[in-house]
Amino acid sequence: MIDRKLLVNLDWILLLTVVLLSVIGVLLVASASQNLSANYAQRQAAWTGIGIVLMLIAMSIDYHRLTDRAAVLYLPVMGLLVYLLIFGRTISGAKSWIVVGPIRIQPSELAKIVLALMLAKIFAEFRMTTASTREVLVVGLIAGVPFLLTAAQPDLGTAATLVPIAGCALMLAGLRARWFVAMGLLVVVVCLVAWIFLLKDYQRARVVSFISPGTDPRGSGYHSIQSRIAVGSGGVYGRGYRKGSQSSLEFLPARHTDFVFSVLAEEEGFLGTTGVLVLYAVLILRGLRAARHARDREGLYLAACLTTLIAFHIIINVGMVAGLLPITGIPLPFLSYGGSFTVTMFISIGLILNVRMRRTVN
Amino acid sequence: MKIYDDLKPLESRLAVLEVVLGIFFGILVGAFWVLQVLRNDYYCALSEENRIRESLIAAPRGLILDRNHRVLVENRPSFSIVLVRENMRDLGAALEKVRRIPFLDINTVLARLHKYRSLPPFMPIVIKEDVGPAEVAFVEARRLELPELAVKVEFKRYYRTGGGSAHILGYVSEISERQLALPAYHGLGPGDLIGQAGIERRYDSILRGTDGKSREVVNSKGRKITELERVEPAAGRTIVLSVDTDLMDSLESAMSGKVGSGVVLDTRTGEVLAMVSLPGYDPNSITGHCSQQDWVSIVSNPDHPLQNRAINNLYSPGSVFKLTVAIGALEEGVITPSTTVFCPGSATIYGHTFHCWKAGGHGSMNLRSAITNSCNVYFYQVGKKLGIEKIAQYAKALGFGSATGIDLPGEEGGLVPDPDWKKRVRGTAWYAGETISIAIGQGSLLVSPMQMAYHAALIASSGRTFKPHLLHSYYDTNRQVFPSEPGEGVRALAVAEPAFDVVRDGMWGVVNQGGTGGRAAIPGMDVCGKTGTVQLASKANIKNPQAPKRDLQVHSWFIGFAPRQKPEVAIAVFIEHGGAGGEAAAPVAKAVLETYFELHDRSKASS
Repeated sequence: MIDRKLLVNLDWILLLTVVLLSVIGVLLVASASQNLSANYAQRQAAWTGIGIVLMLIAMSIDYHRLTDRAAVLYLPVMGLLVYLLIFGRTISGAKSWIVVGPIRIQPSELAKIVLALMLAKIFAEFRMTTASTREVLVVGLIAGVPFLLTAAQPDLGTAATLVPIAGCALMLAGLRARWFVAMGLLVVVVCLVAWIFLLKDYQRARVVSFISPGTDPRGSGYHSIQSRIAVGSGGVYGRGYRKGSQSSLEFLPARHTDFVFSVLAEEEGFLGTTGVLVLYAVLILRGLRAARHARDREGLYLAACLTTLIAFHIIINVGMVAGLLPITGIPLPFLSYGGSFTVTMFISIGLILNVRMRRTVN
Repeated sequence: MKIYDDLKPLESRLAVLEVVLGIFFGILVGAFWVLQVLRNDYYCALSEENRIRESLIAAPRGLILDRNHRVLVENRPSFSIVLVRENMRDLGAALEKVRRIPFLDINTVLARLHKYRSLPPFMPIVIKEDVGPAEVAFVEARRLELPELAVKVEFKRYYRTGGGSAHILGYVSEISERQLALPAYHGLGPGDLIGQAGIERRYDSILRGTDGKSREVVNSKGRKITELERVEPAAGRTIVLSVDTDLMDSLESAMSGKVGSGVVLDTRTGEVLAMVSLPGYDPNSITGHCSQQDWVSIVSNPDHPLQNRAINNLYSPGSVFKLTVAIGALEEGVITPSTTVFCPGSATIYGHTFHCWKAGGHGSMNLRSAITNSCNVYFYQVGKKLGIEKIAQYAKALGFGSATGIDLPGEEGGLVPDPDWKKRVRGTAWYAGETISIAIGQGSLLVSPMQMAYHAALIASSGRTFKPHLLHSYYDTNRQVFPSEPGEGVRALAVAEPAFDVVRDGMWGVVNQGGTGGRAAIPGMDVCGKTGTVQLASKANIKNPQAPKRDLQVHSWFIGFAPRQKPEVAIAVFIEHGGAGGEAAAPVAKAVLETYFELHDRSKASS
């Protein structure tokens, strides 16, 4: 299926960047999980392997064949999300996982991919300069269903990552000013409703402590403060691999998952953080370039939406680590420990590479 | 190259996206620049603060021994039962087990669990303090069945006293806010125990020792990971007091049931051999972390057991003061030993009639017989001749009117009145009749039992004794001994030996020749002494039927020394409302002096 012509257009830089990030990720997870009972580094390495295989598969199937069957892929995932709400087992407070033997799969992660495919398909033949009400409603429906199903698990963090995918598609399609205003209002209303009905006490406390971190330094402000201490004490050169005291003495919360970037900042310093941010910037630029050079609208939308998704993860997570944003459970691509998430990120990269490879074929 | 479509507008929108994302990345890099480069020092300090914990290792407090190195105060292990929550599989099951243990109160356990719920689970919670050996054995024997329980050992101050010596020893308790601010307690923190009274307070810096320190790395739960540095504690030094436990016990038992005080001094060195104040208290019940109940029962006692009557309370000296007048008059040449006064039972001086205590009068008295019989009329006349200024001068030289300097906190100085004092403090002129009252030890004179004992020692040693002191020596863990330095010893007394000789002769008569202090006589032993009886009630008070009977009783004094030649020991005994000095106080002195000579194996010594 992959002929030589395709390999000519393979984005080696993007591929290399992703591999480099994955290696850094496994090393960081190893350092962060020093005192934890399970061997998270080994598991993360295994997931990376699986991710690379799935990435290669995602690369090799012409993305048109995937977008053409977007609905066929989308509906089963929605089915899984509904199934979870009805029959799902509550693990760590949410019905997010399907348990198959020793493996736990998170269907909401797959929703990100199928949503991007659906949007690419919808806008494939869209040639207006601006999106009409019809498009907005269609996008709202297609993104809204997985959003609500995921939010109801409840997993507001993962649900929120669907918003930039849809937002990116609408932005590319062209949005009128009134729609911007309307969406802004919608966000406000959703936030209010969420604050009153959806958020749990601990989530409200997180927001309060973000706005005013001194309120409860031993309580919900604690994680944010400890992360900033880890980052700040790293200095320019860092304290050395596996030598971060904030991390190894367990002051950092969720240090192998959501706060893995704090471990990097503490142990590798400003050089480490800017280094990894540069890698991420390269990744995003290559993703956007794949979109810009795409052969058709389908490819452009697909690559742009997935790149936006990855960028959203990076900005929200790193912003949280730096204390600029409140604590949300949004992991960092290729660095945070997490099976379904890592695999999803690799598939996204696979699809971006896919678009790039097929820019001139036929 | 665009074959199918013009994607230009889309490309420009992608460019916008690229710029927006670029701005976000710029902000992130800027944030890390601020945190990691600009504020690095600040966060490094916070990180160290997280990581490093300094904990104190308590230094054991020094012991207090008597002059024969018998233990008066020591540190005894005190056992507590603790609950170790990290060994607890299931709270409900553990509490059920605890509930079945007879000596534990489940409500206390639940209250403590709630109170200390924020402590990390590996830190034990005390659920019962001060348990006995049976309870310790119960828990220790069931380590397998009750892994959640453990026994914790702490050292607690233990005082060996029946109560009468409590005032010398004092007690320890938590340092107060006010004390923390004092330079003497520099380096101590809230919760530290310091001496709050007696020797414990006076020599706190010798006894306290220096706490050790441990700098350790801890994790976020406060559990120690490694120790970086350890400074071992330096134990407090051991104090040897000059007191003799046997003599203390003898004094206390001779005074048992009475309210008052007794002090025994070595006339040659100024060492305090015994000091008792009754009622006493049990320092063990208020030391460390005192229970409210114990404290209230001590503080609300009408006899004020916390007061050390030997140094804190002041009384009128009564007839004991006649010795001062006698020495002053002899030295000033106002009288000679053979000066005779006729005592008809009263004397009218300055238009006022002053009575002798003996209704019919003593008849003709010389100085010696006047001391022996404590004749008031004789001393009215001598006092009148000597004058108040001279009386005050000799009183001050013989140990009254200022603190003796005993090494205990809170000693009162007493009062020797003179016209200057009266004008300054009372704002009125001295009137001549006051001098007559002062001459027999009444009036505004105020002395402490400590001063009286020192007074006796000064007479016994012809003014050549040291400042009274309790500290004999102290030594550190290397057994290096630091003897006490009693300071300037001899008072510059402008009194010649003959005056002392005559007075000592009179004091011998008090005890051995039918004088007022006959009950202090020890056969074969030359005890010299002087009694004092302090009038309390005015005539109006006596007629008042409402007045409590005990309060009408006179106070009882006896001071003395022995042997007559080469004196070794001086004593002062004071009994509140004890009756005449010869009846209540003298027998106490006798018992104590007997004990002293038994101890020193001099039962057959004589002049």
